[in-house]
Amino acid sequence: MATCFISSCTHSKDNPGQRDSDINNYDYKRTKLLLKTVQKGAEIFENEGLEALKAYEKTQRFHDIYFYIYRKSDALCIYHGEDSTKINLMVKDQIDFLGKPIQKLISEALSDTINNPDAWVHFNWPRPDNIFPTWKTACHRKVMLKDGSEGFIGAGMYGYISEKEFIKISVKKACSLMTLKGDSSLQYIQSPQSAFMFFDCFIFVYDFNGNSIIDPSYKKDSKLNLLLFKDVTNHFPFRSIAEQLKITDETWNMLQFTSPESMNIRKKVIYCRKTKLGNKDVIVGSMIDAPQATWFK
Amino acid sequence: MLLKQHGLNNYFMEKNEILYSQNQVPPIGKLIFLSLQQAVLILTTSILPAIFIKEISGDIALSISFVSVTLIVSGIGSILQGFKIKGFGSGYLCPNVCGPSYFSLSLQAFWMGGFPLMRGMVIFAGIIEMALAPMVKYLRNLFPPVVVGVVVANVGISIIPLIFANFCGSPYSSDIMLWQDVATASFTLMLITSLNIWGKGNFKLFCLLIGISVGWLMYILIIPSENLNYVGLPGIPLLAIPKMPFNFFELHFSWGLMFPFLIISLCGSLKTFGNLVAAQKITTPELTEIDMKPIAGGLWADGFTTSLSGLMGAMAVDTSSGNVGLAAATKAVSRWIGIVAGIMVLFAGFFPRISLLISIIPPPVVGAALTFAIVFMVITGFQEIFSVKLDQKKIAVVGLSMIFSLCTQFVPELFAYLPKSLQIIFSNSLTSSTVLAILLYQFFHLDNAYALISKKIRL
Repeated sequence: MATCFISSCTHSKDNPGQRDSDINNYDYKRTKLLLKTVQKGAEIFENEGLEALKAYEKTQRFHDIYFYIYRKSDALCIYHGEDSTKINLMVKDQIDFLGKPIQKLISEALSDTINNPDAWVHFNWPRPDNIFPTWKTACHRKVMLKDGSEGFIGAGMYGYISEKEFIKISVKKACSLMTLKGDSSLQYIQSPQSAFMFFDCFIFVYDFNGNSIIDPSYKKDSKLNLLLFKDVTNHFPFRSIAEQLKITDETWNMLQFTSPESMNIRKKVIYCRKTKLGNKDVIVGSMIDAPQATWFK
Repeated sequence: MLLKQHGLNNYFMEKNEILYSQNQVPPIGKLIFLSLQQAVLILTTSILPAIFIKEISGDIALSISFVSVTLIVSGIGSILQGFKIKGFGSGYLCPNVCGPSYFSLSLQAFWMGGFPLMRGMVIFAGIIEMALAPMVKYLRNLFPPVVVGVVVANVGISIIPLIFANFCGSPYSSDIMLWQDVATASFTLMLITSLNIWGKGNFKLFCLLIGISVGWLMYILIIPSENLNYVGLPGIPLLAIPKMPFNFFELHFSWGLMFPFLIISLCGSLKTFGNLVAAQKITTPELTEIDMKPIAGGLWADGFTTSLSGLMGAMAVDTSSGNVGLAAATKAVSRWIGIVAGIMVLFAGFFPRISLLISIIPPPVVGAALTFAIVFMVITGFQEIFSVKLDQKKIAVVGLSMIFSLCTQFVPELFAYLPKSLQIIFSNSLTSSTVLAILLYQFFHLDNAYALISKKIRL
């Protein structure tokens, strides 16, 4: 709100090699709280040790925040506040319900300090007291373990969080991958096992003529020219994005739609960037439900 | 009557309880601070235009201009409402704010056709309200005290979700409550209420202003990181004339948006009607039935202000339930307070740094202030309901309309499956309660009408 446009608060991290993250990039208090808690948890663990971290964790139980610490080289669980049965287990090949390799994704996120400075990872996972999987979103920090090896600390929150920053991270990562690997990256980007598919968000790619390479409606052989698509308010989001990206490298847009469960028109926020796929200029984007005001039902 | 039978005193029954009456000008010092108190409450809602610009991905300059223009229109509207010139304006303390009623539809119009369409449709909505104003005089029979009571109570009830979201400091669905937010809101609310109950003199009179100031300070102390919100303030110009990025004479209309804007205009008119009736009950408690003349004048002024919002490219404004409630709480109902508050808000529009500073009052503090103010609005409605002897018919009218209107707040998703034309009635508790109360009252009194007609025929 007003806060967002008149303040610019950058929280620096002590961990070397990580780019500073900006806590004001996030809309939700729970995201900000989780980020701050993990930052503080990392500091406490490195400076005061595991027992101090456990004591700090107790103060965060009200918000359902539990830490976990793993050794990076072999994914040995040093500490797990939510599920103590995991402690001392090596879980290098652990996958989630969709087959996402959790440890690999965390490792990738921790090394991608440019696109994902807070090392966000999303996985589909049942809570310890539940059998049904639910989305868990976690952020991570590198820490130095007692034996001098490299590890990481993380904590997560359950549920769907319409945090716009998550699709921005995803799109930036996809652009980097496409620039690096070209067409061969497309299959991985569409894989449910990749980091690019989480909640109901995925990457779509189309060219400046409106031809889809990965369709936003996720149809394999869509013949729809995206530039002609208009939403329920007669707005042409993909055309507008293409026009914007002729003069800039990134843009935000909105797509509105009706839903049988709501009297109001619902909104998706779209984030797009321009990149090269081979020699061709393409638009890479993703969309997420717009944060909905509590009072606006 | 009924209240007196039960040994209860009507809060607004005694005219001599009013501290500053409708036409009385308070002493200058009191006038300034009472007006400032009202103005601060108006300014806290300037967050809505800021959210609007954020939604349309506008930049800081646009946001500042949009907030400023909206404040200028709010100020003009509040001044007009305080005057009563040849049937224009109500002559009550019933200021204008940028309320949430038009938010969604204005956004939709913007997405469809930018500022020209949004402005055109808001002007259209204002014209509808102005057209309705003269007809109100002929609708007195539709609004007996029980129906008026239900409408006034629901003006307050319908904004509870907005207030409570602020109170908990959770602007978005599925977000968390932080203890710091709830503690600040609870403390602020208790402080304002305590000052209002036990305070003497200025402490009682300026309870809201004191509560907001102390609550704001407490919030900064317990969440020091919030100080960073003010870091960018020096970069905002102190004095500026708002510049909107559109051709002033370019106005668009859309047939497709006519019906939604017509409905939202009717809903806005109902809300203003409720606010004006509440203002009348508070200002002139001795009246036994509604005086429709100032109400019609108020609706006319409100419609004009809404159209002015469109013309100037501001967010649509309408009357403020919170401010009417605050007048009830402080018992200072002089229209001059509304006029001076309007002038303050009008000037704030040219001082973006000041208006932005107030617009970032922590949401829990705003939530607490509005909760306090709205209590008086809801209770005024209940008092109006209980001011007459309730027979079985009236109990059914009040009970059924309240229950079904509250359902729209509790389970809105159920009404999403209704046909579009009916959805609008159940879009919030104010519209549903008003429609139901009017229809049920007329239906349950059909036998009286039948008896009257039969009697006339026999004669």
